[in-house]
Amino acid sequence: MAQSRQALYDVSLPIREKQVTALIGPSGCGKSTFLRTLNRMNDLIPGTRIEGEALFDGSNIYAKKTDVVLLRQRIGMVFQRPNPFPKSIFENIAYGLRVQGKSQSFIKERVEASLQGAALWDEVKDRLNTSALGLSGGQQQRLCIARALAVQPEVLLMDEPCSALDPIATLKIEELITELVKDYTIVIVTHNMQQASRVSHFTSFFLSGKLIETASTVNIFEHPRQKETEDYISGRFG
Amino acid sequence: MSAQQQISTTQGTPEDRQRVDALQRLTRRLHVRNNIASAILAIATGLGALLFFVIIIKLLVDGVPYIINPNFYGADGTGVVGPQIFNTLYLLVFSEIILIPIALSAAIYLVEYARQGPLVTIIHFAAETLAGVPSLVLGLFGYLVFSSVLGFGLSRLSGILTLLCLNFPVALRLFEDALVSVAREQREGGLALGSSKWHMIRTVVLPSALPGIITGVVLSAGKVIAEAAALIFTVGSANPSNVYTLNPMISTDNLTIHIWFLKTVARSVRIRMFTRSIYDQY
Repeated sequence: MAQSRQALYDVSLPIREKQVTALIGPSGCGKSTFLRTLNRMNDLIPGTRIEGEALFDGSNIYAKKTDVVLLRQRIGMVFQRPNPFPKSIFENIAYGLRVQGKSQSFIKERVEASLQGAALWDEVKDRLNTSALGLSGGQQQRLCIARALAVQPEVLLMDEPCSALDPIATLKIEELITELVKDYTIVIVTHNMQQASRVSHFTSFFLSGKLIETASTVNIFEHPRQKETEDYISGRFG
Repeated sequence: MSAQQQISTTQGTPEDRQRVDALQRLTRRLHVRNNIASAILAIATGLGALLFFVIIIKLLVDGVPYIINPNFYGADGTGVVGPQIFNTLYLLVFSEIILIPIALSAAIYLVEYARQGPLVTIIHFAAETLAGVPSLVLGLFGYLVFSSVLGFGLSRLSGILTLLCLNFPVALRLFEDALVSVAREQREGGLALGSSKWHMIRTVVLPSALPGIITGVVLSAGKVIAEAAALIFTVGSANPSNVYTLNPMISTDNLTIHIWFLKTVARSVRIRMFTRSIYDQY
């Protein structure tokens, strides 16, 4: 039996529409756990207990009447390690659309649009029917982003999307984020402070399950108000 | 330049040379051990494979003349095995048709839906205990419940239901293992795209678990083909003339029971008939 442990304490945090909010902090500080509360992914871990509320579009996503399936169609997620299904590239992107019972012609259209949105179309357009597992790590991660975009969510949660990727693939994903934020609200967890400063508009610093500071990215990095934040971003610990 | 430096290191001070010599002796020992280990492993593998091939070749050489002889399958009741092969396949097909949906449903429920708690632990404990019960005992149980209390008598139906009791715990465990082995990332990937749990299981978990599920089916099929003890009490050892029928209520024998029967009960009579009927063909 895993030891029970409180992962988050009294976190209160606004997430602004069509902006990138970065969550930073050392390993185990609860930033990923917080991200996963936003689409109720933590529900899948047996024995999880969550108190408080998370408001999305004015209603509490932890209310009893919340339809989790609907919630996850509106709030998409990209995981730390690319997790394409062992299916063809086309079927990976089509997955969420098939869930929604869309027509084949609509699916075809959306697959192309999503792959273009994730800057992957040119690399895979000739081999849509080959296995997604044959793609490189960076391509797989962009495939996962495309897969999430295909169902046209309003929010995109990204849990360290570049931690398994090389610098060039990371750069591509970062460019993609700055492009996507025109249409999507993005919350990104990252270990990489440079990444947070490059892509985000707002940054929140977590430490030991507590939200230490949240502010515009410029302010966090140039005028941190809390000592812990300053120590962390200047590399004194973490 | 660096190559020169390396050479000069190995030819450097006496201490350096000693150190390199010691390392060389060490690595030589490591290589020897590695070679010994790989040789032993290769020999063991070879012996296993040899045994396997000897059995296959022996079976083919001795068996093919009978298998290609049509009289071998005759239904005249003189000890040829056509009816028994049919009955074995009958029991195999129908017990699997009932087993797979029930065991797979139970496995999916236990892995994906059930709250992991004392109840699931008890179910696993019960299944494992049941899997350890000798098939002879389960045969007696099947006789008592299906043949006697439920009144199915000695019949294929009683046998199939007894095989179900025998195979369910094993198939359940194997199916569960197959489902559990599907990575959490895959499940989360499906759910995060807004699919319902059942849809995710159907489109993500089951396709990935398929190889493991097939393993479970094959192993339980092997158990059905090899089972004799549990069937003697429930299907019986009769050899009726109207054996080529799908009627589940008749009592028949199968290959394994037939072998047991030849070896014990009918030793004196049937063996002689069996051998004569085969050799008469040549």
